Amino acid sequence: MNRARVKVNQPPVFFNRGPSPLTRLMFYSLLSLAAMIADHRFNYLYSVRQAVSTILYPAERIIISPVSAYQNVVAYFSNQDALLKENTALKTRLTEQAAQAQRTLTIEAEYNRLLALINASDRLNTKGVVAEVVHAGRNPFSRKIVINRGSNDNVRAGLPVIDSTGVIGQVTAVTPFSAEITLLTDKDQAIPVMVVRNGLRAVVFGTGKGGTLTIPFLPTNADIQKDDHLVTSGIDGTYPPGLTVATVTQVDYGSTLAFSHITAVPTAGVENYRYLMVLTTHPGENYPKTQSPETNDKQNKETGAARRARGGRSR
Amino acid sequence: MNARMPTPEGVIRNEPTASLVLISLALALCVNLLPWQGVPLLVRPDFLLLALIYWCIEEPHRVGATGAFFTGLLMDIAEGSLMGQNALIYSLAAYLVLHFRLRILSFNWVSQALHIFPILCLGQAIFVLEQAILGAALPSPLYFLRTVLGAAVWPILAWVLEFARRRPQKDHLA
Repeated sequence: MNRARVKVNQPPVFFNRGPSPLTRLMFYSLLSLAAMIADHRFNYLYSVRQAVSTILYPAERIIISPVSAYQNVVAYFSNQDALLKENTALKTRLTEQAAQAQRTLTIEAEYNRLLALINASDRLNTKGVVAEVVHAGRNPFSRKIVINRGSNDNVRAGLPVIDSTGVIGQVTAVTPFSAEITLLTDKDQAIPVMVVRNGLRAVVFGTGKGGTLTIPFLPTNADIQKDDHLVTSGIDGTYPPGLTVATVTQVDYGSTLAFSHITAVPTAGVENYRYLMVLTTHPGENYPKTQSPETNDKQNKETGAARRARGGRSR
Repeated sequence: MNARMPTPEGVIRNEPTASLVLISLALALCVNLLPWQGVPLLVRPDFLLLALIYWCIEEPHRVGATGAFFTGLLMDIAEGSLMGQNALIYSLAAYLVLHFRLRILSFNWVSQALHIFPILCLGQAIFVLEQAILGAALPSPLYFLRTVLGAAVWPILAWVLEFARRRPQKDHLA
């Protein structure tokens, strides 16, 4: 209405659309880069991420509900014959494992008595929370899954996760109702192991492809063979000792290699599962602090496992 | 099939409301958040980005780089990637679409897909580059099919969103 009063040297309000598109692009690109660096290097955006994920979680459950309903319907109408077979198989396995479990009880008691003799702490005591997998990770570059238990159920970042046959990974991010697990097969996800046959210690890394693991940095004369069983060594303070991890599938001692190329496959159904268990007893808590006094304060604030976990998550 | 074609009898194109834009973006996010796994996850086109591009073309004064940036951040959090990875791609796509908007508008939906394709490719390349810098393993070559599928989905998505904007003429006259 008062167009005439607009100063002559200013563009009319109608044409004023703020900064040019290119300026906006530059601004938001820089902002994105800054956000990436802040998230990756300094973890500043952890709380923002956590808040938004908590808000998104109910929506995610609703989105996934038709799919899980479909799975339930399929399961309901599944062949009775198949169910009977599965039931028999499970019962057989239970009986087999019962024998093992009873032996384990005896061995554990004996082990604890021996440990008590040398004043060492009880390292086999593990408690856990059973969780259901909500969905697989959505980023095809990483191997992650999301479960339906979070900090409300005492799940914390850094805790190990197992299924009925072995270790599947480690909790790397927690919201009140859900937690994200980085699988062993994620690239550079590390787990310290021991060869059952001879006690040789090594560190297994995920390769990020094909559901395989690799053991780098073992000299070519290391005593490791195909079909060797690898269990957690427990020296990292994250995973309790003695959990089944993987089986060696290939050992390649090339004459020109400084280290042997060793490939292993996880024992647990790392990429196919429905229920799993988060071990909530952190063996690392019982470990004596070995740091010098000045770093001790920092260490008290965040345990090594949590730091590792966050390093893993931000990738 | 032409987006600019006079609308069919009994139907008019309505000015889209802000709520239609928001609801369609939310639905596209939901489609992205479905429990995709394995190969479908690798080749799934980014529906959120496609919906965003549609609204950038149709409603440039409502949806632009700012909307794209925040939508991208939301996708980053939902996907579990670094904050800013998708935001960068989305704002770049919004800029390119706004830049070529009049040109894109002069084509029908199938030909528009040929304009959308390079934009999706560029976004994909940047995402792979970001991941490579972060040290992630490259996924299988199938991953690059998602841009092709994204372009293939474009005419369908544009038709669906166009359909959502239509109202029967008699309601309009009443």
